[in-house]
Amino acid sequence: MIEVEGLTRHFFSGRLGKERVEAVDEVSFNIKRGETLGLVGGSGCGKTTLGRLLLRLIEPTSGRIIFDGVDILHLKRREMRRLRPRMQMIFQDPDTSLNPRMASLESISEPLKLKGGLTRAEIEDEVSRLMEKVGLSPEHLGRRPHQLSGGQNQRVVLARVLASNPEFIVADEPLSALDVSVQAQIFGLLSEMKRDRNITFLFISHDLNIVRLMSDRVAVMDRGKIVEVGPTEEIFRHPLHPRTRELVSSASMDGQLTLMLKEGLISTVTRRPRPRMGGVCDDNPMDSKSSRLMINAGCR
Amino acid sequence: MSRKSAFSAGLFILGAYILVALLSSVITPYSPTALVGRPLDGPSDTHLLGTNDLGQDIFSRLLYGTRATLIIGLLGALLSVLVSTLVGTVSAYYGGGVDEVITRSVDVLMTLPSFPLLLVLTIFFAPSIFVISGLMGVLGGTQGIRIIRSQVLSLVEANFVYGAKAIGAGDLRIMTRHILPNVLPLATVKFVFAAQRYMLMGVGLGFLGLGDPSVVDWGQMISRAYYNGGFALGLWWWLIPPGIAVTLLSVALALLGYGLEEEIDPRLKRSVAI
Repeated sequence: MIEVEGLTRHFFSGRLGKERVEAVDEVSFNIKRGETLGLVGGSGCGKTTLGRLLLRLIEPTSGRIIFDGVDILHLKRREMRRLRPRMQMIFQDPDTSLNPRMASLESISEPLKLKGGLTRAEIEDEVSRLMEKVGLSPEHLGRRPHQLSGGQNQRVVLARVLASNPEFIVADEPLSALDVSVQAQIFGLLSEMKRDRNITFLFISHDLNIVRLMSDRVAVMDRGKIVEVGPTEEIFRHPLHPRTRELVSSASMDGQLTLMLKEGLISTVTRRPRPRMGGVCDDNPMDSKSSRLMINAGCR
Repeated sequence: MSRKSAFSAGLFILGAYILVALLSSVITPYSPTALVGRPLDGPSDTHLLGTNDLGQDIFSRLLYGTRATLIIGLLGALLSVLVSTLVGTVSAYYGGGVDEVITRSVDVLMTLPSFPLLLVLTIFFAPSIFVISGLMGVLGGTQGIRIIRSQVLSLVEANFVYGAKAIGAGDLRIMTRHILPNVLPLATVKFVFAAQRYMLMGVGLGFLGLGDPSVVDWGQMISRAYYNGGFALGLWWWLIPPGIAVTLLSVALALLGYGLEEEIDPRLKRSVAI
């Protein structure tokens, strides 16, 4: 679905712009259709820049991006615009992801209007269907972002993104600006999208527990480079690169995830009997997502 | 005074001025340029504010003078806001070479003091009120470009603008639907304060004898009263009314601008409402 080869983006900073910062440096990876690649790394390591590059929201310095067989960096503006709806982005801060001067109705219907060929009634129908899907009620239609909560705004963003009917979504820390309970709900919506629509995801996060729940494979980024890629469990159990080890060992079974489990809000997770205290996790090769999580929980 | 009542008061006074400007021919019995009485008469029933040295009715001139001042202020401000918003938005949105050229030109223009430049240009072109407002608009617009540009620069990097680009919106749509509405509150406030400044500048030009000689304006009234004995003879009804008219209009626009400032940030409005 997505193939990236030697993708690089420099920024210039400092006096006279002489200092070159390599935000993304010779990055190569691929994501198969329907697959979710988790992208983890510390802050400032270039995760967000990489996400924006993939959608060509900013232009790379060099490299290749193949989306569904098309080299998008060689597309003309018009061709690129036609392709854009197929790849969408969810941003970290829901409060700035929406035009503050647009009501939810306008925001969600904009992609539909751009698509063209729909009557006003059809657009309104589609908007209310999308609103229902993401758990918003009709009363939210006329509200602007500052009249909605962060969680509600993120739902509007999801509805707007879904309105484009995308095949690929870059989710850039979509949960980290939200309250814990809201995180679980949005997480539920994202995994639903993944399951029902077979959407391919690049899931960017610094929260390894969420990445672990969401991703099929994980890429670890450090100072602009991808230092390790592999199947999720492989990465978590046998981290090779020192940076990966650091990240994995610092990720704890923190309160957020426990709470989600307790409230039964994560649909992909089923409860299992807790393993004996002190049970050796690595000797228990269960690979379904659900068991993985409980093993982890039992271990700590 | 709360911003809301400041806004209402400013709007009310400005509305009254506009009404006077539109209806001055109905309100006053005399033409502002006709010689209708004895020169230098004091206030009376027939001439509310007396007559000037030529025997023209001062009250009529005062009311008719509203037109020139409002036209100069509002037209000049409209032009300047149009120029600064258009150029500032394009400059910041496209960046690169376009931006570089525009920013450098503005830097050069900004080193020129605008009032003296206006004086010279007004003399160079014939001093009609439309030429004056046009010059003010273009000169003042260049000053505003920087402010609008910096606002747009931060908007271009906003997530929702990236989002709009991602759904396949074109440059024009992004600029008109996503950027402009978010610049508009700032542009409106700029407009009001620009109107205030240009109005005062227009009166200043009139006072210096560079106003449009074919129209009645307050600056020329004050200038005439000053140079033809109004001041020396203590004829307050000749000198004071145009001064008060200018001051009050200026205050009205200041109040309006102050009241509008909260519009820049929609969040400010919410906190006021609570």
